[in-house]
Amino acid sequence: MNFVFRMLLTFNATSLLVIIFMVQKGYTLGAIFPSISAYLVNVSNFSSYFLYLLIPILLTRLSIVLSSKLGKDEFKQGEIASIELANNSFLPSYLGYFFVALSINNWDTLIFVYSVLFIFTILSQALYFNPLFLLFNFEFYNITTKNGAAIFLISQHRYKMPDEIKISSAYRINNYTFIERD
Amino acid sequence: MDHVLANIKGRSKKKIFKLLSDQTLFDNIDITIDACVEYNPDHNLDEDSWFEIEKFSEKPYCINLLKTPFDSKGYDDLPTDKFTKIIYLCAIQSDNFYFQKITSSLFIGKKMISFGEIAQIENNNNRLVINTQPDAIYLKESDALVFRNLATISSIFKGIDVLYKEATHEEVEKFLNEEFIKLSGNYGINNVSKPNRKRIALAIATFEKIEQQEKHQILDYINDYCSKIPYNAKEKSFVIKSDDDLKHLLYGIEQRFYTTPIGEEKRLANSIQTMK
Repeated sequence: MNFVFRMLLTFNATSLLVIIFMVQKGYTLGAIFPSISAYLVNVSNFSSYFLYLLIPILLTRLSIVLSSKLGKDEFKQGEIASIELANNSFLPSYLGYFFVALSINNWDTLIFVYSVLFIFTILSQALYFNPLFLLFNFEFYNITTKNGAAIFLISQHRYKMPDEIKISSAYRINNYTFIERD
Repeated sequence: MDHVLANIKGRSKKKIFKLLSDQTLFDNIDITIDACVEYNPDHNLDEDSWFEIEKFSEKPYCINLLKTPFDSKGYDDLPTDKFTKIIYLCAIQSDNFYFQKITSSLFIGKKMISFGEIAQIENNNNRLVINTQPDAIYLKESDALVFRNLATISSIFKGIDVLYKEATHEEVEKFLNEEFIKLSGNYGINNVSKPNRKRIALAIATFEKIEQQEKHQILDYINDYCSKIPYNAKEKSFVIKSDDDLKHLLYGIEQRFYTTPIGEEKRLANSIQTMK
């Protein structure tokens, strides 16, 4: 279960690479499925692209729902020493995805590059976070506990001071990443 | 929130992992510290009582887990391949720490029939049996460790066996050579049983605390109660022929004999407790 969940999160976090590749190449639904292209003549390319984007969005929603099956931990008041908003820290790696996706020319390259990216993302345990969480009103935080452990927290609450963090049950995605959901 | 941690053996740097969360492993046991008995190797515990060690966090054999404030987030999840390497479990339940030692016999790898609505065969090979009672409980608020058997928990709290006093061969030899003991028959130092070695360790400590005059009083007291051990009043010595004789002599040194005020029945207390 845990492994499948991590695969899902990794897919959500990296799928943008594939979508950008499809958009850049102009691969619409009609181009992929010629049999239905007749019905799509009057449909704008944008709707194809939007449908592509909908897949990781829905899967992200699914991962949020599934996270309630994960192991739980408690954040007691006063346990946190420092907190820092990390919403923007995904930008450098995402810009990287964009440029890579834009310079890929064919499917073979895409499959290879995407596989490598996927494997390293799942192994690194750190890049699970996915800007699509922002759409569901989640924020990312780097926090340090009083014991000195550094933790990555995904939460819908707006925290600013370490003492504000009091979570009766946060779900453990991996040993460094926790998600709080209501 | 309650958590269950597991301590594993092996060479990895991390020893303690998180096993479960939001689960309660043991039924809460209501223990009043005043009703506990300070640890004494010769004490026979009542079924409902526990030994205790006070100010446990200051003892050299206290483990780090109990010294620092507990934070479950600091512990990684236990990888499944390390499951069979667990040596003890620690359940954190409402600020108290419940310990259970894990031995290989507690792992079950057998076919089982489980019955609920319908009977089913379960082939799940990885099961760990949880005892009804933990082996030790650390009560955070009173900073006390309570337990029932020191030998069981000595693998959890390394070094705690210093409390288990048993006389060494030299000490036993020296004790048996005291002038008030004359060995007879085949009974010799090699026949002294393990429980008696514990009692000898206690008797040596008792003798260190009392005066020569009081020693003589004790010998007379033993003679009053133990008519079956021959006593030489002139030499003030007992003739010990068996391990049982030695046991009674040692009970006498601890003043375990008494007479009931009503009925004047002579009795032996095989276990004692200082009244608080």
